Amino acid sequence: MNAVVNTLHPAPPPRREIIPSPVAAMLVFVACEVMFFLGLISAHLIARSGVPDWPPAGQPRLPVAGTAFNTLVLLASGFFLFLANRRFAHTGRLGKARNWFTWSLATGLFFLVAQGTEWVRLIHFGLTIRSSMYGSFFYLIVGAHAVHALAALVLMLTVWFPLRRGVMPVARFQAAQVFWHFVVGIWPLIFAMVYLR
Amino acid sequence: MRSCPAISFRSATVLLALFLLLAAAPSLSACPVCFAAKKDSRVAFYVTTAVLTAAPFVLVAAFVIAIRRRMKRQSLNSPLPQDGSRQDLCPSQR
Repeated sequence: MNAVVNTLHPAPPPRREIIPSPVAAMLVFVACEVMFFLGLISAHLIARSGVPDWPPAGQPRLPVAGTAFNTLVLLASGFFLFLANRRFAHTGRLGKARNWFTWSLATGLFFLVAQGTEWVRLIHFGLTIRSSMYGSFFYLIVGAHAVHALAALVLMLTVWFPLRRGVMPVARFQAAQVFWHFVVGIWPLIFAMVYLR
Repeated sequence: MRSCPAISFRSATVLLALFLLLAAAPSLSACPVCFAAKKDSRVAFYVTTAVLTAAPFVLVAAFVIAIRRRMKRQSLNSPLPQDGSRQDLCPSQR
């Protein structure tokens, strides 16, 4: 039997996937979020440069030491996720990768809870979003980061549950990795701009 | 037959009036940080403008470089299949 050759619709040329679609979409999203945070930090810098005293008199000071420790925890979380990816990419074994991923998730959760605790204390000390421009910018920038951290942790949980059953959703894992590394990477900049300066 | 002038008398009058208005008006000095016309504000404004202008270009360039590096690495590791099979599909879909 002769094979039928479709000359009107020839077969598409061979294609190779360079970046999985979820990862590409996440990269575009992260690029937008980078611009969003840079916009917030820029507004903060310009606003504070016009004020003689920063932080304003009568407003509580931010807990620099505690947040510095929290920053280290968050950086460790990013490093654990890097190790999880490395284990999975190099050995293809899920056991070690799952352990590092769990550590990354746990330390990320610790960071979020510690930040929430810090917020509660600051509100008790009188720093609210309406108390001053200082409070407004603090809660806007740090709050926006906390929302992103929460979203990234939820995404990581959607990877962690299949991982527990011994299944690695590779594209979702890579997308979650991109998002979490963004959350980890933008935080030192926020810490330096909001807490240290 | 009379030739049509390049610009009518009325248009010339309006243009002249506009020119005089612009010439007579004092120059305005407006800036987005006039609420605090200090050197610090001006520097902050310049720096943030430069950063926000450059950031999209840096992001796009990083994206393009990352894709090119991945393409190069993939082409080194696995040459394109000669049988025309689609690599973006899993074997059961090909």
